[in-house]
Amino acid sequence: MQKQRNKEIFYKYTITLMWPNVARHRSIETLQERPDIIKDMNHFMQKIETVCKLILKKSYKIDYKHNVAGVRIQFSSGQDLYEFIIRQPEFEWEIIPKIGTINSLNGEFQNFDLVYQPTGFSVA
Amino acid sequence: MKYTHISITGNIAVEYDTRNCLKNGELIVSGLTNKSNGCRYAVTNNELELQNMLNSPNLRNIQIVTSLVLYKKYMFFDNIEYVPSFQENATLNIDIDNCSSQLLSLLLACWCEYNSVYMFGYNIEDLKERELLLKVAESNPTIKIFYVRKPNINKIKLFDHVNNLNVIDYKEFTAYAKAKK
Repeated sequence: MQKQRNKEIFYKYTITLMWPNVARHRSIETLQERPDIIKDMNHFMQKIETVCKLILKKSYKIDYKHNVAGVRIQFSSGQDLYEFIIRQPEFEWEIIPKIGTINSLNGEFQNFDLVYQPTGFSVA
Repeated sequence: MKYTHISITGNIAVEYDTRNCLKNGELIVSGLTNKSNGCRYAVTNNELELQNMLNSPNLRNIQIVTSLVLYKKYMFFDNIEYVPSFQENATLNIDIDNCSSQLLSLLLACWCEYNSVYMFGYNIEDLKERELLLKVAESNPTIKIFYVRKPNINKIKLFDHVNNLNVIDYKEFTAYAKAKK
């Protein structure tokens, strides 16, 4: 479940989920003129919230600030992230193939490439 | 409470109760050779050992530190982390992926910047390991490194020329731990 109040939670992993095709790379001006796209984006956000509530076991955080690239989600558990990535086809969404992690030893943030393979995926 | 020292257990089985190390300091264990109760980090760069460590119930709540290559492979496990970049490694040229886990533990202990590092069960019979230990000690002149061994009347003079590398035995460490209480 989403627990935003607890400051002790360490969100180690970050991924960005791409907007639906119709909403990708749209300027703010375009979005202001196209309420239908805004509606799709809101629907998409609701879908993410519902799916996260359903499949994630530990704490996560959805970034509600508008980002042209997509919706940023932070995970406290690697197992949850794995579950989220592996079940992409089921929910018909696309993740930007990068996983950001914070090293708990030195606080360094590093991005890793997510490589899809016929049998699954690996991190490079 | 601010700790003043950190202890590491190397690749050799330690015949000493390492709980003494935890009374006033922290502990890093290398691989699965020694007990890991209460340790801060468990270190390995061997894939098979890492798999066993990830499955070990004793290490469930302990940070397992490994090389970046292995981290990428096992990053979805919650308690895994990769070693930070060690400054001194720029001059030492240690291959983090292939060095011994005890050396990796020592580098991590030095990186933690405690005043002193106590090494238990550290293999110095391997000449390469000994040479690298001397290099690490020389590149960290502000950290006092203690090679802790079983009580033995024969003295080791291997480290006499290095100012910050000393040899003590278990009894001396126990006395030190008691005095620090």
